[in-house]
Amino acid sequence: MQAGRIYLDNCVTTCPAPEVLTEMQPYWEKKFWFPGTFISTGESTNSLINKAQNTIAETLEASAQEIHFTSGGTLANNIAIKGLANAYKQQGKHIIVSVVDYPDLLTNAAYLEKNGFEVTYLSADSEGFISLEELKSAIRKDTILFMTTAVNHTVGTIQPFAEIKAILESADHKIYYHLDAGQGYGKIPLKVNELGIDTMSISAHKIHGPQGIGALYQRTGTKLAQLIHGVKRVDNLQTGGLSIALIAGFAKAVELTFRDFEANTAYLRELSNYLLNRIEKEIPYVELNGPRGEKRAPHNINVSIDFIEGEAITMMLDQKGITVATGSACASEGLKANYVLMAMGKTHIQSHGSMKFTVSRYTTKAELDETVQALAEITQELRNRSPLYLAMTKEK
Amino acid sequence: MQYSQKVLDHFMHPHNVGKMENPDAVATEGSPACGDQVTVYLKVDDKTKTITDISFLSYGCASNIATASIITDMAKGKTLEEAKKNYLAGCYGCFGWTSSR
Repeated sequence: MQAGRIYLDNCVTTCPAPEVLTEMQPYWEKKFWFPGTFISTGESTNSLINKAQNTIAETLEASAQEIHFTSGGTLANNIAIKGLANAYKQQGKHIIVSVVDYPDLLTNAAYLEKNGFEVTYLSADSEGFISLEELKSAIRKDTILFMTTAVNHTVGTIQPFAEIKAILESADHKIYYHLDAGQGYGKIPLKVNELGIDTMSISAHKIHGPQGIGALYQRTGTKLAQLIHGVKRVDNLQTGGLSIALIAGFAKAVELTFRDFEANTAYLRELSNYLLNRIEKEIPYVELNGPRGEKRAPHNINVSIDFIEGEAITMMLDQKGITVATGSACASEGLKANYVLMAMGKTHIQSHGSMKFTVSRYTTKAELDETVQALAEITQELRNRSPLYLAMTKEK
Repeated sequence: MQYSQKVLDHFMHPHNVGKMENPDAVATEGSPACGDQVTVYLKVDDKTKTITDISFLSYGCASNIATASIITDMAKGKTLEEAKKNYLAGCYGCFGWTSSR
């Protein structure tokens, strides 16, 4: 991270933990070998991979052989979603997803839709929870797959897992269940049997691990049609020659995150609550997007700041050395308002003025103090330039 | 997209920003739904039809604010025709000026 910079965009990526960098170093320099049998170099790498699988599996209450390494969450999502759809298409070609899900899920759904599958898109309520009533009524005889995002990437909403599981299990046939846990893993407890999931994607760089490595959980007995064809180096899914150093770093990051999971997540929630309280107290005309309290992931605060536009706020904070994210259309590739916020029924102004702050265990209250002070000054400055703010003050 | 230093300077420290008291003309273009809205105020010399003062308010992104700052600088001191043709219309489309007189 750039020295002196306050980084509050931890839902996108996190800084690697120093222990992770130390852990990886020998594997870049000396122990770079691919797995293999008979010879000591390959066997040593086998052991490392097995150990890393175990480390991750324990956190999910899964088995080591159910963990497959991938180049990241997106590859894991692709292998799972296309793999499940194609493996079970003889039983049906209907898939259910929601309009607020992570782009990996929505783009895969769109791809499958173009290739002969039917997709039902569930709506979401004003806090980003998917409609359980719609889920119930969407299930058909030919429904083979339901997928959702454990923690919403924009507003931090934790989906109602117990209710989802009960609905899926009440169907008179098996519906496979894929969970994107990119934002959820390491932030909320995720136990595979409790969730009732068949596949799940996770990513190392969201939990202070290295970029370029993730994992796919695949329940024993669940089939995945092969997506990638190539040499089997590290994984049966033929994901190619994944970096052993990155796997070692991922395992270390998992170990650090889960070593004191309760305290870690409590600290994240304390930081988020502190930030939200200060923003709400010190900046008028601000509205929280997403749920308040325990139904929200502990690291996410998303607020709409009225009368001003998020890209301008983000740019000004950046000039002051503070990195945050916005749902403004001007900051998006397609120049469109944030689709999650719009699906939640927010207005264009609320979406364009939305600011997302995501904390990490390295964030300090002093950094949040500095951020709120800067945000309050910037908000006032931009409101002084805003015709919408002027119109509001005239009306009052 | 990387903004140039000039754009950044105009965004961080815009010129001619603020509501004008008793303007000769005022126009608002854009829409909050699109994420951009600008109001421009003018004072115009009756005889010479020259813009003697100009200011703006902006709801919008950095480039919106910087553009308003730059074009208002450029339009100041020009005749209405010159400004409309060369600066204001070019940047924001055809303004429907509303005289407050």
